[in-house]
Amino acid sequence: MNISLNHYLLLSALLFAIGFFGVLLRKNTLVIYMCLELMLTASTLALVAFSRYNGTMDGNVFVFFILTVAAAEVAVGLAIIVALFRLRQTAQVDELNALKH
Amino acid sequence: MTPVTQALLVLLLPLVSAAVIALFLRRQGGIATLVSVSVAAALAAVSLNLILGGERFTASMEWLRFGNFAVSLGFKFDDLAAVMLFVVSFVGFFIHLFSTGYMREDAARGRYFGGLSIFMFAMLGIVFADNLFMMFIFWELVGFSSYLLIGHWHERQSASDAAKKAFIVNRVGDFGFLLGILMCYWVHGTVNLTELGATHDGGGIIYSRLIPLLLFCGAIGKSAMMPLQVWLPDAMEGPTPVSALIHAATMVAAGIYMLCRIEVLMVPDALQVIMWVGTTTALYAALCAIVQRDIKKVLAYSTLSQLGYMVAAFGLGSSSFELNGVAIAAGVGAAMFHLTTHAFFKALLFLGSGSVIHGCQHEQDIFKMGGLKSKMPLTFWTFTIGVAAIIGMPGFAGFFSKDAILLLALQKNPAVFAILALTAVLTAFYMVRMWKLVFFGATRSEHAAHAHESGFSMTLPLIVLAVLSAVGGYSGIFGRIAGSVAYLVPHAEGADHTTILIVSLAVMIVGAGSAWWFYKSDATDTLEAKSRGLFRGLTVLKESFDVLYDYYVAKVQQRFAMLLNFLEQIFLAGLIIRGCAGLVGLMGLGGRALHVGSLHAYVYWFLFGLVLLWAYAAGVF
Amino acid sequence: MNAFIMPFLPELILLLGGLVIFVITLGDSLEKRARTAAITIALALLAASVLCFGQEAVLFDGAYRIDAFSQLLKLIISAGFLAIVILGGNLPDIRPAIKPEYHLFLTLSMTGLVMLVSCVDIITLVIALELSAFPLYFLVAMRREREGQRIQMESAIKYIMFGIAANGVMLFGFSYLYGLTGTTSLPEMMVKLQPVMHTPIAIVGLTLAFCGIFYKLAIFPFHFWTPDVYQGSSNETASLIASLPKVGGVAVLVRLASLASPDNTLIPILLSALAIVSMFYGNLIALAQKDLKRLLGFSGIAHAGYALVGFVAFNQAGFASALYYITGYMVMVIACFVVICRVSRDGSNVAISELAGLHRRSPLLALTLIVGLFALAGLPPFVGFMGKLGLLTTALARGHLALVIIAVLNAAIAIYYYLRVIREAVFGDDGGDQTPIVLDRSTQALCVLLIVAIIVLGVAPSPIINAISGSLAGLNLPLPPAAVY
Repeated sequence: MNISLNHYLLLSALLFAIGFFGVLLRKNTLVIYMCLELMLTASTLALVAFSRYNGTMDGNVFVFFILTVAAAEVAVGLAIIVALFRLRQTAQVDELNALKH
Repeated sequence: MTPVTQALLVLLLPLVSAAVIALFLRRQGGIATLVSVSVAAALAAVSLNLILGGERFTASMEWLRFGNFAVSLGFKFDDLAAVMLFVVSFVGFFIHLFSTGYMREDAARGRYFGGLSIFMFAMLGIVFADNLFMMFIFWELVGFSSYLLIGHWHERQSASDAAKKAFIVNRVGDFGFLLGILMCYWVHGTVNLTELGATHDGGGIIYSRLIPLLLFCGAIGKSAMMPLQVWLPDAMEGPTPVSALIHAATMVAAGIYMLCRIEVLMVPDALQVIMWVGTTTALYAALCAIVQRDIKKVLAYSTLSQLGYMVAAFGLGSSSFELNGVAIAAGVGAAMFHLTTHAFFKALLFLGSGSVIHGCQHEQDIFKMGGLKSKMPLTFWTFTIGVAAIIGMPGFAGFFSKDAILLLALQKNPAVFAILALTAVLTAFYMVRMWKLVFFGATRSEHAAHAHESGFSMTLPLIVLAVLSAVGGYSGIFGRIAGSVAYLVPHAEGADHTTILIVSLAVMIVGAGSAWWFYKSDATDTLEAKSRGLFRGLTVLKESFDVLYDYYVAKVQQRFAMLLNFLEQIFLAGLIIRGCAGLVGLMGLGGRALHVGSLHAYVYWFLFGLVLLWAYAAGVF
Repeated sequence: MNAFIMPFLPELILLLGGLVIFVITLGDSLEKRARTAAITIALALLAASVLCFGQEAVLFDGAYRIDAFSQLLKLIISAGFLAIVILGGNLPDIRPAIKPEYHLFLTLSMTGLVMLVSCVDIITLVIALELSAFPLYFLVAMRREREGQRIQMESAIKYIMFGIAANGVMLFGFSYLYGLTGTTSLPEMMVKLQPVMHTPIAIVGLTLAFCGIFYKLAIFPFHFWTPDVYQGSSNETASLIASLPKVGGVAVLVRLASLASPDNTLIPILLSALAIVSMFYGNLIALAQKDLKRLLGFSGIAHAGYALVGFVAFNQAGFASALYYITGYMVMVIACFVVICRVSRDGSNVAISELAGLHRRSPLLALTLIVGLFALAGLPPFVGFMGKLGLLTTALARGHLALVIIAVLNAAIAIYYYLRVIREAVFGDDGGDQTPIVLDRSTQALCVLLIVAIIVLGVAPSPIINAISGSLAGLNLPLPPAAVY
């Protein structure tokens, strides 16, 4: 079977959807975090595919930057999650509802 | 100095004074007083020079520009502005002078005089403004300084409540005013007063009516017309000179002045509304004044009533287009004439009441006064002149201006004439009631027994204003200040002349006589004792509006906010999340959405927004 | 100085400053030194921005653009930065061990913002956005944990999760836009996007990208993080989050919008709808708030709605008034936060009732608060009024009468809750507590400067409006590349 651009896009849209709905539905911050990473991965996949399809390297360059950003993001996010766990002994999002109204 | 420089000087002097006081003299009340009063004196002198110099001019500069829209700052100094300038600067100066005595022992004198100066600046800005935007800006600033001064004794809860009430009620009117200005710009493409005068395109049947009525909303708020009159009686919580300056002579009259400024935009239907609003207010306030015990509240309701007179005069003068342009101007002339004389005698009456209150150690209940005639002779005689002027005693200022209005009413609308005549009876009635209770009979309280005449700084303004109240109505005085505006004041001739003279004499004698005969100078209200039902009816009438608004604010507005809060809590945290979750579950993307926390709710909303945005962009709706 | 370095001086100063503070953080308990360094950097940045005003160059093959627009915004941002550093004081509510780091992250976030206004390529745009956002997540989490105050981590988690999700969405949108046009440069992208504007993939891409920016500006319904983050973060952090990133957000929106074709009729309707909902939502909910920071959070949503009104007009005058408004908003909101930071006892949140008797405890703070709130309420002669006037007239000139009426109505609603706060501060019963609040010199100077700025920007708006309009005129003109490259 010939794999076309559409297949890549479909896969990336799926990844994005899984990521987004994971954020919506999961309650453990770590899992949510992975889902956020999935969303970023989805865009990198789309960028690489488009880059190939368009014949310009801009997309590939962008991917490298996104990877860097994602790495920094993981560091920031995990640090905060660890700090949260230390202080509150929980990593469940649904226990974080003191701020409302 | 060129006239423009002089005008600039008049406008900026009080601003400088306010800035100096605010920055350096908050603690040095004495020096602050000196600065503020001398600035008031200087600007009164310059203004007088400007008015009598006879030079009339317009000047403007561009201030800012957004795209094609430019706002300019400018002066439009014509005869109308000259009258108002005289009232503001001249009466303003004497009230400054009076304040030096009245506020001598106040700890926060610096703040008080700073407030007066900023008020003068704002009020003069309204006088000089050559376009509606500029007028609106100063309009707001006037409201702000009024807020400061009403709440001067902010330790008293009632004062701070009154200040807030005045501010908020005024905002309601200003909302309409701003809309009117925007709509005016929208239809006519300009808000410059002179250019507006040159436009003849009414902008269609709806806009031509809507614009003047929306602008009139501003006057309803500032001049305390019905149904926004509720703030003015409460505003008496401020120091008495403030009541005299802001809530009797100048600021509340700004609404009338503004109407005269935009008279070119008026159409008969709008004038009809304005006339009736004014007439109703005049009658309503006069009825309320009869049952007041507080000397300042009587005067406040009387101010409301007189403002109603002016607004009615404005509406009347133009309610028929038969006489073409002349008819319109008659309203302006009569309204401005009454505005001027009213500024004299009402400022006099307020200052007189201030002198009384000061003499009686801040006692304000007229039933606890009495017999002050001999204790405060100067105050008594000047006050008497003020009373004579307001009830329309022949020869005094109020007689002429009130007659001009009654004449217009007689010619244009008999119903309005009848109501205004009745109001005049009531005016004479409640004024004489108060006059008798305060100055005659036996002293009825400790404070009144120890009353003493006030010092020179307080009696001098009384004397000057008394002279003006006596002679201000003659064309030699008013004509000199008002120039062409004075020619617009209607004069009765022939049969009308006789009718008006008889009617005005009759109402005065009936009102004053019955009050003199009816009231005993006693510690209880004779009306309450003799006719309980009538007294109660009038009291209820007076309070009805306050009750209504309190109910509205407490019940409707607060509940609305609570409801929204409730929605935020229940709707967002519960219903939406579960609803969305159910939807998502139905889509087969997972059924574990029942245990979501708040963060999820936020992301759901994000998703909601995203889908909505997409749906819109994709043309789903 | 080297002519090649000159245009990029502000960025270089911030990078260098970041390094210096980083070195300082390596030592022990050097918070004083870190603060001094931060203030020095802010001052240097301000000086550099003034110095580099009018410079023009492009970098990285046109991905990074120094023009009048970016330089003007750098000037505004650096002034805001200085104010934020000063109002932070000695950071009463940050954990003592990590106070130097606070300044480090503050400086890094500023670096991101300063870069953001120069970005004309989605790659640099994303980098700058993330650089400005990541340090903020940390700043929120750095608040002290203590009895009765255990909300900072919750608010940090909400902020970062929501922020990253929004960025992920935006990135995904960008990837589609790139795929469609084959370029990452914004000007080229917009040209190539014109003919394919109505294909489904373009619509999805644009929608996703705009969601990310609306999140930054806190437009309904992308705003839900705002009040929680304001309330949960320390006062100093909240003042930063409330003010500067919004300027950056509007700047990016201007860059994007100025590229779109002005005769698109769909966008104004969409933006008006968002603006209306944001204004009503923010104002009405603010009516029922007790925590002052939370109140400002909700009012911030309404103000973002006002700023959008400028974009509804979709012409240069509209963009100019939106930028002018958001600059004014930055000053006004910082003025309110100065008061919050100083009134607060040991850094805790300030309830409106705690303001009672403020005018006796500190007249200067009370004046600052009154001026700030009156300005936010849109009363003349303050900048808030002028800003609203500008927005409304530009919208009106394009025929959006209904929107203007609704905006005026909202201004009237907003008066009510601002006045409630002022009433508490001036007339409120303080229950006998009259401990004066002692202000240090720098705070006094800051208060006076903010008051002056609010009044001057409102009374004499011509210079700044002309500067903004002038900078907008050259927004899309070609520039010479920097000679080094």
